[in-house]
Amino acid sequence: MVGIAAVFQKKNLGKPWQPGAQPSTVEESPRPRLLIPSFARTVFLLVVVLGFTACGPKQTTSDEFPRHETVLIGVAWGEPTSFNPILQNPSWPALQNTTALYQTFFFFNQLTGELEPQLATSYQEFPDRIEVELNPAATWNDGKPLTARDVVFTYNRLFRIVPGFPAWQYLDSVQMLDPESPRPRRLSFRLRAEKPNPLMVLHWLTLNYVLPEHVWEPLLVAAGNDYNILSKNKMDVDPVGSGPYRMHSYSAEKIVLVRDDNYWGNAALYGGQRPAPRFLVAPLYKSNDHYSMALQQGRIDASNTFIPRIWLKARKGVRAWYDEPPYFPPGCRPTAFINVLHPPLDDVHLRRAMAFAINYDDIRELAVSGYSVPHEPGFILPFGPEARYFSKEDALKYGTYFDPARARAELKEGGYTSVFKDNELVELRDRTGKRVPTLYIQCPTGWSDWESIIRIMVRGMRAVGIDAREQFVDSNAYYKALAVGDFDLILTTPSGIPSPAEPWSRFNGVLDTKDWAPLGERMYANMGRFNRPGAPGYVPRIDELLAKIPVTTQPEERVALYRELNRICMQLQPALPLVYRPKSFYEFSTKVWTGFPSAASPTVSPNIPGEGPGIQILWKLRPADAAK
Amino acid sequence: MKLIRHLLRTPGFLVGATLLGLTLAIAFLPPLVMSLDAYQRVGLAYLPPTAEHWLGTDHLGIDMVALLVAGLRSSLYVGFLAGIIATTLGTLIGVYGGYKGGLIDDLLTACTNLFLVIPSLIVLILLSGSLQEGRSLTLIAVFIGCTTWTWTARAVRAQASSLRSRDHVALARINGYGTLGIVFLHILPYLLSYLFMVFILQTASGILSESVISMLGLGPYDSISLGNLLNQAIRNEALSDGAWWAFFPPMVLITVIAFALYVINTSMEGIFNPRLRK
Repeated sequence: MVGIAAVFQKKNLGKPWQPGAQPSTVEESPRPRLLIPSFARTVFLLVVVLGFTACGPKQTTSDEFPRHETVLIGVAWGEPTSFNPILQNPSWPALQNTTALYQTFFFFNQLTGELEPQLATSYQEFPDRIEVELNPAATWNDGKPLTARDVVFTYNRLFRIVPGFPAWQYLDSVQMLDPESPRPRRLSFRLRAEKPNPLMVLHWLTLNYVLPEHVWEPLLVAAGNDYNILSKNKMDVDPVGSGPYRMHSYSAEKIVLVRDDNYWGNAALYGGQRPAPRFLVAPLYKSNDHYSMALQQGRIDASNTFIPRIWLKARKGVRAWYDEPPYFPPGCRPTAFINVLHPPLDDVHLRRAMAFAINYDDIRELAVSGYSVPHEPGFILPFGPEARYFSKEDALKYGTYFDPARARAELKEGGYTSVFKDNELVELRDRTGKRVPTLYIQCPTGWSDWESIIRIMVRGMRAVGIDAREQFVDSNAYYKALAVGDFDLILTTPSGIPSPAEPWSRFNGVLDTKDWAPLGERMYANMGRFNRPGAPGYVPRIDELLAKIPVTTQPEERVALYRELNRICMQLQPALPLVYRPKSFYEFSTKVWTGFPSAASPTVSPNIPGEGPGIQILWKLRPADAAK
Repeated sequence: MKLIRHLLRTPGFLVGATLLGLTLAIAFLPPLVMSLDAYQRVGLAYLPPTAEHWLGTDHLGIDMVALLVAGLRSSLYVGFLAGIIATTLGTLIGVYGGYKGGLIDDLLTACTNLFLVIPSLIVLILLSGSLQEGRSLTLIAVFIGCTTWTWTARAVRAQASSLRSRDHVALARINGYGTLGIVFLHILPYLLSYLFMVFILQTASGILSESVISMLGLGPYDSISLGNLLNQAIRNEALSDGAWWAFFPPMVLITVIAFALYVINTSMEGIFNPRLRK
């Protein structure tokens, strides 16, 4: 537009418009003539252009990462900043739940709910502790043995200095059980006596990395045991881990890992086989649709990003876990957290009115492309291992299904009046007649499925008379707003990582009051600040239930406790559960590699390579050419 | 009257006017004859065109015809508002500076040049990006108007300064007219035809600017405009799913409006400027 404007401007200036107007003072200057002959000019230009090209940054040649030796995955977002695994949110592959470079004790298989061996071979639960046995074959990438000493160092020295390290909420300390052995491998994870929660300790054993003492101890000493100094180390120069891949290189465009042919697990866990691809590359794109396009064109082999209408991509060789709806095994609950410290969101009538106003079928069919089963109120998944805790009877009695009439009734009961003009909502007024400020529902811009969810929520709420609007923000701003409570409503997924602690961890994510922080300070659970102890309307029973469920060993009692907690959530509506979603999306292309697991051959939990248990897929892949 | 007769005999003008009339009809006639709700879900995502829904549905299952009508209205609104603002600002600054001359003219010209070298699209993108809440179509129109007035000001200034030395202006000055009186009564009327064409160009440029900003995802996300429709089509992979009805019609509409306005402008130029008149 600027260009067009400029062109027209020049044109207008050059031509007088009015009869008798003065001719323009801008004279067209004659075209300058170059004195160099045209051939020499061309050669000169070529030399200049080639010179500039040679001066640029080193370009990656395709020979460097031959396609038939490389698996490309859509797993990482944003320019890599640091690969330091003690940071809360480092870049892939140091990011939590990645097991290519650093490893954890177990893989969590979300299909079976079982823990599968990784660094550890087995575990045993006791009332006050969990005992773990390490694989005796485990070594670091630099050849040194990986022993229980590394684990004790990682927890008792390294994780001690990390501020707010989440595992310490449930863990007291870690001890070696065979310290006198030349290669100690037995460990005891002691639970915190005041908050015994074996579920969460197992959860962290599937997520926390074990780091090498011989590398980190000198770093720790050099940093004077100061987290702020240690966390500044980017750990990007050939970091030592214990996984099947090592760092190769990284740039703003991609992160490259290279296979470690001496990986200890090849012999100990995979029958002497090594992973098929030599390189594991994570290209960095800007948004979901870029990953989708790359997958369809065979430029990446697997992705955990949201791809709408996956059935249309089948003709381009893109597949998901199932070949028919819901295409992915649903496993978590995207939820709109409600900031109850922003009045009148502390009013249960308004919160329930919102819950009744949302068209959950629209969200399922349109926003998430049908990758979900029909909505049931509450936070328990009514299918899979959690189905035993779900009560349809309670859901029908206390729950909120899409029902605009009941939404209006709740508003009326709360004393609200909605002002409409020409069928358009103008404003919502509270019982005193004061205008309720517009309620903004936040999510990161570019997360197209979440944006669509919010559009559907807004449409439903405005139709019943609640003044809600979309708010799409930069993802960094979103994460900050989520933690410090700078929102009215915000979309997030409580307990988004597959975990043996579910559904407790999901409830805890919505209701936890143990680490209460006022608005402006960070909270990592219950960001809606619901049920502050001591505040008017505080429900102590919620905290009691959250404390009791993890230590209950009787299955029937556990069912009753979960049922009660879910019932309270349905009645008080602390947040708005919206849809079911896969824990992470799992799409793959068979253009270059075959052998990806699917519902027909569920050899590995549905995670792409480079994400949790998905790394095991790399041993099962075969080049597509060989399969033909 | 003579000018209008000339215009009506110009094929370019006729084509442009017909196209513009057609887009205006699309924007304002359908709601009178059929019920259109740009917020009501009518089916699944990206349903192909049917007899009931001529252009299928978008990613949220909303009738594309309803969205296009609503989007076209918004885009026309933004375009015209931006056009009015840019033309008014540019004209006032240009005509005043051009007539006054001297230091005031130098200052205003410097100011105009300063604004002229600021890349307005980038400023627009930054402004839109920095405003998270409260982005609205009106605000976008104001932004566009306030960043694109510069070339109007320069062109008008050149015209005004050439008129300044005309006899009738000198006569008016002798008769005791003040600056404003001369500017409004004796200079502006001579520029009216030119200003009208400037306004048309500014409107077209406003519509295109809004489309670009909205297509980049920086427009008001709670309104429907043609750019927003394109943005949503890209975000929700209409292209790769072959849902042409989600992006092709808004694209055609934007092109047709801009084309119609430019053709009208060019043909008017041929009529109003006697040197170009055939």
